[in-house]
Amino acid sequence: MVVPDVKQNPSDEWIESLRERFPTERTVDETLTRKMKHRSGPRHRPQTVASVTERLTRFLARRLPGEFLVSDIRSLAGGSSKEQFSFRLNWRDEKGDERSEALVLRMRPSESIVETHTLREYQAMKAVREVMPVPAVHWCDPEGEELGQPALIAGFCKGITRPPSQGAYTPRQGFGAKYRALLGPQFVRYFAELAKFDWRHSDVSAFDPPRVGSNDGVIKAINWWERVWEEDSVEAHPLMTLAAQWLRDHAPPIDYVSFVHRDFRGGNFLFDPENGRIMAILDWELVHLGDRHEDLAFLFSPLFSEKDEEGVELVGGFFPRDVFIGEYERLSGLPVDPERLAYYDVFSCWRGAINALATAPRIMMGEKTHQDIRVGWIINSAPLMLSAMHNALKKRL
Amino acid sequence: MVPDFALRIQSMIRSLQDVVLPAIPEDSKLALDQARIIVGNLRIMADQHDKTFRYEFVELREYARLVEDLTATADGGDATRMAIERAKTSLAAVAPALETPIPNQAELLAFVKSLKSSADALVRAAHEDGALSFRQAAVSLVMHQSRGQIARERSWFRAAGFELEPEKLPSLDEMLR
Repeated sequence: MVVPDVKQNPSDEWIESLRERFPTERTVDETLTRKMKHRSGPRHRPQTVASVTERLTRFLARRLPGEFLVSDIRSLAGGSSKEQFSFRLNWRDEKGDERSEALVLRMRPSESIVETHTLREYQAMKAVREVMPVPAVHWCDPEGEELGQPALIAGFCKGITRPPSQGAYTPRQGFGAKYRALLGPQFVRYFAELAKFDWRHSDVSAFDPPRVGSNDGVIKAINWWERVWEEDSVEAHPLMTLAAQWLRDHAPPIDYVSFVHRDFRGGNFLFDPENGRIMAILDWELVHLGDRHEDLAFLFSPLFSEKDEEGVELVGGFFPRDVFIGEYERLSGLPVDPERLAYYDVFSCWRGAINALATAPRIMMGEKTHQDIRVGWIINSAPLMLSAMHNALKKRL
Repeated sequence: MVPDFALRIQSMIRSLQDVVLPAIPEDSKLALDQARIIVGNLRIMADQHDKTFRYEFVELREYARLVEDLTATADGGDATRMAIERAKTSLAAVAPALETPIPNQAELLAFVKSLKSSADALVRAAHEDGALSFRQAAVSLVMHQSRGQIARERSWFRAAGFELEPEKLPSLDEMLR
């Protein structure tokens, strides 16, 4: 049921009622509650370079032992959610030696296409650096108390996300035969590494790990996204309701708890165009602890499929589906269960459709991000996701 | 339909004003001039986009009256008689359109939203306490309706570049028939 005024100017009572109806992870609840409490506030105004420099300098002064210099601050393009600036930091370490590093400041706008908790991103990136190339994370201001907006500071990584091409944004990277051959084996290896990574010795205090053998964590994830749908949707959509009901009724237990990136695909890693080496896996904001099949299903979405020179469909633009699954099972040592993969086909499309159909127009209405125009473009992907969801549901109902 | 044109145009204006225009160097006079004209055009489109159909309709009524009045007073030789015949043929062709009550776009959108909400409430109720036959029917009917909606929306947005094989989708004219 759509009640636009309630959603645009939510009362405390309504926010509380959503929290009760959709219990989820602590930090997810904090993030969504914060979003709704600020919803009726002013439109997002990107910070100026001068303001970012000033806040950054104060932030670093509390953390660096001696003199330092922040320079070359530039806004970065890319990504649909976070506001990003690159800068250079020169400082003296504890031994008095001069150091210099290129860094990136990632800040959350007032609202974004995916509303996430910065500490989760920070902790996951720190943890998985053991097994894959990820930008080194240095500092985090999860509430934005010092930097004005929730933010983290990470190392700047060189590389490109796709071979240079013209045209509007699409999720397909068009790697072509050369880069496919270079990148594909690395991609599936890191994909498998993430699934099998043992997170139990890492700091995951921002997460509520699900229990093995239970579907509690899946229900919490459904609650997360159904709450987002209730908060953001601009009109009712019976198929989305049907999908939510089916997902809730059929939530499978988790057999092995993995870090799930939720956006692990071409476009979200940097590579060196000279040798095709993957330099960094990016965009960890949606990460959670859950079922590895969710990452597989998301990658297998038709949004990211490409055809090779012979017309063979390649999942994620890399391999035929069966080849990818075979390699993934071999490298991770974890089985792929077709039943659970089919479940997460529906889940991933449903979640993606929530971002595109509900959150994107809602934040455009409030002018809540620096990327309204790009977020608006993402809405165009909704019919394809709904089509994939419809196909997946049709086989199960 | 999500998003409507108003929202798209609003985001284009904002992008031009907040990001593109400030990034154009002061000495790039032609680029600055044209970017500002684009903003102006977009503002006009934001004002007009949901009214063009009504605008044409007002014009249709106005010209129908003018042609009726002219025809009523027309008198003369062969050229006048031929023009009267042509005018009467035109008036006869547009008569059904003039008699059709057509809601304006805002009303139409409100009607569609209201029916979507009603359908959604029925699907929720079926799951909560509906009889088995109703639950089964709700699933089947929503799956059937949404298949048509999704096909239409895929054609509507096919130029955006998300489709792997957009050329295989039906044209918009076919989908809106």
